[in-house]
Amino acid sequence: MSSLRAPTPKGGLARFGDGLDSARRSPLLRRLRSAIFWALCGAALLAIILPLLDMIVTLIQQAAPLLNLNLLTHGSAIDPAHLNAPIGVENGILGSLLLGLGVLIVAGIIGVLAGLYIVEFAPPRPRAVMRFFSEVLSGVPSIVVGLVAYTVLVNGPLQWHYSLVAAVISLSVITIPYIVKNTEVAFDQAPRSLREGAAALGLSRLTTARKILLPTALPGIVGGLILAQAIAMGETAPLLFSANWTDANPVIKLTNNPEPYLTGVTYNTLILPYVQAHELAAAAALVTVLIILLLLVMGRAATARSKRMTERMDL
Amino acid sequence: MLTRAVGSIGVGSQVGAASVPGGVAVRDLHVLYRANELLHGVSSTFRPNAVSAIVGPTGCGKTTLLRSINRMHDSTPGMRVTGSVTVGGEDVYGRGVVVRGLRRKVGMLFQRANPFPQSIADNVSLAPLAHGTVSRHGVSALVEEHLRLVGLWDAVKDRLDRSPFHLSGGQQQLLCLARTLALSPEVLLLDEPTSALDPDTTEHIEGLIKQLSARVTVLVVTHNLAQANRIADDVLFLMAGSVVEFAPAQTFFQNPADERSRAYVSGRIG
Repeated sequence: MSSLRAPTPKGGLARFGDGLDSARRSPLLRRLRSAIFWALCGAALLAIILPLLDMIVTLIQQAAPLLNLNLLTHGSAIDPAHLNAPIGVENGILGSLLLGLGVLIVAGIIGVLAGLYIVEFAPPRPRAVMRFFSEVLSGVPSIVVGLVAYTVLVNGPLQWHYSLVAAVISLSVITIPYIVKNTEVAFDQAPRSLREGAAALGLSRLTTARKILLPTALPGIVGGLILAQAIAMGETAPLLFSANWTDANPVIKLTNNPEPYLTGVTYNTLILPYVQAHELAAAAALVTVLIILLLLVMGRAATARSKRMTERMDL
Repeated sequence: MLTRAVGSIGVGSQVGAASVPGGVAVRDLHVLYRANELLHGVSSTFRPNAVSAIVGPTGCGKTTLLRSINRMHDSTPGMRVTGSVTVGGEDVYGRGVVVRGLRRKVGMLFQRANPFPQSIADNVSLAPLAHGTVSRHGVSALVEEHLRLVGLWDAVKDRLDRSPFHLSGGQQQLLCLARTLALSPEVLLLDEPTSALDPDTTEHIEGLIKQLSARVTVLVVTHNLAQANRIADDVLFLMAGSVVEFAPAQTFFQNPADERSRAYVSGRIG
């Protein structure tokens, strides 16, 4: 705080002094510091928001010719002989929804149960070990997950080939740590007084978790599941090696059948030598960003609800 | 269930009290938190079907003593309890004791109401259903009986399926009391149950405590001497983790044996 005291002007403002808080001796300086601080905060905020806005505007500009209903009702197949035929991201959207559903089932069940186990049931040491592995897993680059999926599931001992199962499993490996973490936090936020009340009634830990903690934890868990959906929606690397790609609409066939997905539209059309293909790449990217944005907003709303519930309990 | 029976370990004139249902006795109870001893060998026998108030200055170990009786320290890492606590003659810390069974017999009410995020009716019926002490058809009668018992029935009978968080603080505490009583406990541990409540509700709950002591043993921690005077049959006075005096309430308030009790009662300390 000595820096606050150093530039105290002599005379005029000294009447505030006399053992009072040093900052009060120079309100002008304090106001200046405050203004600089807030200006820096504002600049940092703009540095976050502007690139995002710029990105969305750029995508809209580039995708403009394709932004009509055809985008949702046509697949991404481009016929060089009929470049002006309607094209769209229908296969990508349907494929990503199918993969998302698979992730919700596989990663959702495993992640929520693992998170619940870690936070409510595990003894301290296994808990620490499981947390550590979950964190390591969340740090594994997605291309590595893709590689492993390829060598084990697609082309390794299991021979499932490019398939829905391989894609869902690799996306699940990536999203499970997020679901685990959110589930842990959601249960952890439940007030201690609820646990004590349940313990004092001799309720088992399972009954406590299911009947008493779950209602307060549920919005947080849902938030984690939605976040996982957003991540699954944006992943590309592992899918290249597990789902591969098709211009056709997705088929619910577990093995031996490549599947489409939204980011794959961008990846596979950007390399084509046609303007229409580049427009489609931008349109698919725009749809991906908008869906992720929507999912994140939903996730935030769910988590906020979780907080409000515990607040209203006044515990 | 509580399996290992221990012989009667009454103290002084109250020999035998500990082994009847609801009798609570602690003997040479030491509670440590890491290297810090919170209770230095407390021994007392609480009369069954009476209200015993545990009083003393802040930090003297009142709540620590109370929470030793239903083993609430079990879940706090670093807490160690030695000595013995018996409820109805059975050693609470004995081998083979199922803590959940113990807590069915020894109910507890906390300083702040902590209703569960379930409907009002489910708050009352959750524990009896989980312990299997009531059948599905018996639930509504059980809920009504215990909400009536605490005087909450008329206020909530039209909104049994609603959230308890819209009730007032006092009503929430009454709901928690009903929830505890629904298990028909032999012993009721109350940890400053009215310190967060308005005078009217406090009076109501004090009346209930007197009334309930006809069928359960009540141990109530309070920092409010006037309250102890109003409701207690016996008073246990703790200071710095040791018992100073344990006497019938009348004796304690009018003619305490220990100089420190006299100072505390007269307001000179504490």
